[in-house]
Amino acid sequence: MILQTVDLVEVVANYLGITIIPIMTIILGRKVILERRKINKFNMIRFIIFCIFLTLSWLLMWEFLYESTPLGGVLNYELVKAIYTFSLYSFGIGLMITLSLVMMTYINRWESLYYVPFFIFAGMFIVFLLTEIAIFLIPYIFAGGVIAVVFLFATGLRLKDNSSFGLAIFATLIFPTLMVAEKTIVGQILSLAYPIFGIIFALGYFKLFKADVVE
Amino acid sequence: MSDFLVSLTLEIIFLIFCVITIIIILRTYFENRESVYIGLIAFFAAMLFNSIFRVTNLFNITLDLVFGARLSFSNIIALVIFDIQLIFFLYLKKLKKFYYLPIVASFYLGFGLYIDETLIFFISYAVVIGFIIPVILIREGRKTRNGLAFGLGLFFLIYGLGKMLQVPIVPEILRIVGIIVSTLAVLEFFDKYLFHDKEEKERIQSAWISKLTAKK
Repeated sequence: MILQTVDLVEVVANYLGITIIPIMTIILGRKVILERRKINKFNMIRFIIFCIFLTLSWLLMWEFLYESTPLGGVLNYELVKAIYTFSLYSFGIGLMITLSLVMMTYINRWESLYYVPFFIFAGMFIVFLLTEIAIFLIPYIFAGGVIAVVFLFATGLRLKDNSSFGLAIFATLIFPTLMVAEKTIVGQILSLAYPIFGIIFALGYFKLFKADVVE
Repeated sequence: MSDFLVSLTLEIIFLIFCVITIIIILRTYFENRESVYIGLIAFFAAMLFNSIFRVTNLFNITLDLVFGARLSFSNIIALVIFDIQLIFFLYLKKLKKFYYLPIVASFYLGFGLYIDETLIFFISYAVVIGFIIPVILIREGRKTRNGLAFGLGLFFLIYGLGKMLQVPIVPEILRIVGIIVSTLAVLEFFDKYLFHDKEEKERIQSAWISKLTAKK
C-alpha cells in the first residue's frame, strides 16, 4: 500500500514538475523582458534566477522523458540520466549549482568571484571531454549545493532579500529530490512541495521581507 | 668540470639577484601595502625555489618529486610563475572578474599533468603566457609610462626566451640579464631614467617656486 502510494505520488510529482516549472520559467522570462523594457536596464539577479529555472526545466524534461514515458526504454542511461558522469541531466544540475553560486557572489558584490563558478564548471567539462574523467562532478554538486544554499539563506537574512531567501528555500526543497531522496516518502513530499513553492515564488507572492533589495 | 663551475657561478648570481629583488619588493610592500607586491614576492620566491632545484641538480641531487604521470615540483613552480604573470597582467588591465582564472586554469593543468603524460596543454599555456603577456606588458608599460610593468614585461620576455633556447650557456645568461632587468624595475630605475619627463618636472618645480615667490 505504502509502495503504491509512493509510486502514485511520484507520477503526480513528475507531471506537476514538468508542467509547473516550464510555466514558472516563462513567467520569469516575461518579467525579465518587461523589466528590461521598463527601466532600460538588465536586472542581473532576475536574469540569473530565470537561467536557474530554465536549467531546471531542461533537467526535469530529461527526467520526465526517461522515467515517465516509453522513451525510457530507448534512451541511453549514460547519456541522459547518469549522475556520476556528465549526462544531459547531470550537466543541468551542475549548471544550476554554478548559477546559484554566481547569484551568491553577485548578491554579495564579490566582483572578483563572479565568473569563478563558470571557470570551475567549464574546466570540469573540458577535462571530461578530453579524458572522460568526471571525478570532480559529484563533489562539486554536493559541496556547491550546500555552499549555495547556506550563503543564499545567510544573504537573504542579512540583506532581507526575498529573491535570495526564496531561492534558498526552493533549492533546499529541490536538491534532495534531484540527488538522493526521490524514492522515499520524504522525497515524494518534497517533489510535490517544490513546484507549489516555485509557483508562489515565480508569481512574486513570496514576500517574507517587506521591502526588496534595490539593485 | 669548467662547465659545472660556470653553471654554478651563473646560478649563484641568479640566486643573489633573486634575493635582492625579493628584499626590495618586501621593503616597498611595507611602505605602500599594495597587494600587487604580494604577488610579485610569490613570483620571485617561486623563481628562487626553481633556482635552488637547479643548483641541487648540478650536484646530482634530485629534489624534484614527481606525482602521478608528469606533475612535479618544478612543473608546479612553473605553473605558479605563469599564474602570477597572468594575474599581474589582469591587475594592470583592471580585469577584476578574471583575477581567479589563472588559478582555476592551473589547477586543471596540474590535474592534466597528474593523470596523463601529454604536455601539449602545459606547453600551449606556457607559450601564450610566456610571449603574449610580456609583449602586452611592455606595450602598456611604455604607453602608461609605468616602469615596473615595462621592466617586468621585459624580464618575462627575456626569461621566456631563455627557456626556449637550447644553446649552451645562453639560457643561463639570459636568465641573469632578465633578473637584473627585474631588479632595476623594482628599484624604479625605468621610472627615474627611461620614463623621466623632464618638462613635466620643470613645470612642477617652476610652479612650486612661483607659488613660494607669490607668498613672499
